[in-house]
Amino acid sequence: MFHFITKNFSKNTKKTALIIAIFAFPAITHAQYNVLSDTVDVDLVVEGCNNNLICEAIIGEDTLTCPLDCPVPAVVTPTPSAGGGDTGNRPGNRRVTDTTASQSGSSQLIIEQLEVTPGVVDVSFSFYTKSLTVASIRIGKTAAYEQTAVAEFGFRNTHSFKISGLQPETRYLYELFVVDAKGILQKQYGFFSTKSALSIPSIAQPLLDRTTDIKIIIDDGVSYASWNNPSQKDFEYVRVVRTTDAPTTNPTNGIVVYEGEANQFVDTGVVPNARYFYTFFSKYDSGLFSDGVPIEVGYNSDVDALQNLETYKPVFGNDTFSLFDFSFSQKGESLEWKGDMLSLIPSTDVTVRLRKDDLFNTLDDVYIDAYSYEPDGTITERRFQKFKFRTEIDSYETTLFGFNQYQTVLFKVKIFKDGGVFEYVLGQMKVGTYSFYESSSLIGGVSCKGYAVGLEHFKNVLWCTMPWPVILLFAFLTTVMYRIRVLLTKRG
Amino acid sequence: MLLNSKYNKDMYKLLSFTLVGVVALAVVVPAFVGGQVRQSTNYQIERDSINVGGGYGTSTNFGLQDTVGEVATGRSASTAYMIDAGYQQPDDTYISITSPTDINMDPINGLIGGTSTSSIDWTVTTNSNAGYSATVKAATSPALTAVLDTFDDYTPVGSDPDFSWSIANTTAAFGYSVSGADIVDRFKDNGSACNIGTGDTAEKCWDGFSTTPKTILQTTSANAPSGTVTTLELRAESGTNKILTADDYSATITVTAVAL
Repeated sequence: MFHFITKNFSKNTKKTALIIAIFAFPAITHAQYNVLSDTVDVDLVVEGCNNNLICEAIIGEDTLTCPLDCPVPAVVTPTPSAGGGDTGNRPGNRRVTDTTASQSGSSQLIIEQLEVTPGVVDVSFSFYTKSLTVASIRIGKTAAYEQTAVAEFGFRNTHSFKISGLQPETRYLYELFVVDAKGILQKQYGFFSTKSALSIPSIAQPLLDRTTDIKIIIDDGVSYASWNNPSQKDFEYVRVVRTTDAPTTNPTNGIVVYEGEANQFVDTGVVPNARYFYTFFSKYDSGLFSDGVPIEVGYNSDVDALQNLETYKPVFGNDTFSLFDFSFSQKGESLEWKGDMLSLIPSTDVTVRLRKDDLFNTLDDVYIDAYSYEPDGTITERRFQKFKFRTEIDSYETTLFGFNQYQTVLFKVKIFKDGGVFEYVLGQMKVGTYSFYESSSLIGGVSCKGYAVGLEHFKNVLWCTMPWPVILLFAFLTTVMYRIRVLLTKRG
Repeated sequence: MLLNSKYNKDMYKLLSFTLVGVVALAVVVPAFVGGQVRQSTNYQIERDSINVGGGYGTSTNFGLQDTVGEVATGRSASTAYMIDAGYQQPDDTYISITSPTDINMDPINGLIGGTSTSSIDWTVTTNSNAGYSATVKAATSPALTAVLDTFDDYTPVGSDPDFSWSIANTTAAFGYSVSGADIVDRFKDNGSACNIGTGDTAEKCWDGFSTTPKTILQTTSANAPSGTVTTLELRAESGTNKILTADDYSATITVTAVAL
């Protein structure tokens, strides 16, 4: 019908048709979307032989499914000594021959007299085969033997390998192949552990410097330790290990309570009156640790039970510091006492300076334990530092805490020195409640008195003292002004 | 017909205005006359319209229904609504399907065997009065695979899904069951068998995946706007005498919904 109209009518009619077409156009069908898909990925882990060298029957490991973890005793190659060094309670070197690869005549291939000699960073293999064979070895931390692979050139009966570039005290798996001229293959698996750096005889290895001058104090359930680090260039860090039964010779045994380049630390994880052993190991860039330096601490420690122990027991003395020994400042300005109260700026660090007292000798090691605590005894923050007074007029400065607003805090400094522990409660502070004290300043050349709050020295001006000439000048000017006003009044 | 030029001109004007007026009237007036839906016992006219023109034309291969004369037609939309105004406007049929996250089934020990079951929910929504259907398929055959080993696709004993999951202890298999209001009869049960009855017992009626789509859902009416949730239960089992290679196994499952 639409075509009929446009075909037979005049120009204006065509315009009309165009209008109609514009109205009709939106009726054209819209696209439709009526098929949708969604895809989901499903993952499932199947666990099995984990090749961890432990035969775990509970997860189904046996000699068939997991020969590395569950070697067959009947086919284990006669084992001479385990290659030296890997002794004690460790699993030791273990090996299993791959019987599935054996073929007729393979008895000539049996690897005999295998010796695996792990070092700190290397391992040596030596063994014998009755027939001429070529051997190769793969080594790795996992059954992928990803570390390295070495192979011989030429057939022989006596075989030896040395593989280096290993990490100390690390367990490695190895896979040993021998193949004869007929192509008959024999495999043998096993593992070994490289030695600890600590087990190296000092004559065979350059002696690594150890930490020195170690001192540890246990007080109120906190251990304070300080020491001097080795001066060797390749010294990397010190590791402090805590044990309770006996000092350890292995830096991986026990609780690592500190690891870093500093020369002091605070261990808060101790129980008062318990006995602890701290062993200090120096770690070097080579990856080796020095021999440990063991320290026994604790009030009930038996210092004579172990050799080479340096002990440091705190002894409480009767002497006390006086307030005179301390000075305080905030933002570089001195604070003053008002009675036993200090006025502090809230949330601002307090610098405490301790002057050398007769209680201290120069170059004594002094430990300052500065902390604040709530009235109920809860410690809010604590700083422990070691220092020395180097001259008779020396002083030591430490920064205390930025207290929060609206907090009542007591803070005290406890000083440790050889022969005594000195404790002083510095005072208390109620942040938000200030002590006012009188202060003075010059205002425009005039000396004024006022009250100060904390460091705000002139919060309130009370009165000012003016010199007499100024007072006379002020009186003269006042009189002149009064006279002028009277004259003007009379004339007016 | 011969006419003088002025008369001819005037008549031409008159005819033109008349025509324009008639057309305009024809366009406007029907806008005030509402269409009426009619129905009988067996039939229903869903849409009709009174207008100036239109009709149904056919050729050998095509048919055309057209209308002339409506005003204010076309699509208008706001943020939340859309309207296709005018007679002959087709309804946009839509279908939506949710996209659940990928799932990690609980691990199975490949040495001593074990079973792992998980589920995925899809919600399908359509406004199609004819409803929708949905199929499921796996991307690979078998569906659950790793580099060195695979789970067999679950194989029911007969042509219908197995009411209870069962595999030999020397095999490992991966399969599914479906539950929800729109499942096809194949996954319905009577409490002891599948493809019979109207029940939908949980974790019953197990079937295996295939790379060929299998219909799992079928409806005959719209369910918009709420949609219908369908749960695909997945189960993988390794028999006690089956040694399955330790690895990460994965399957890709695709559900396709079609508005009818």
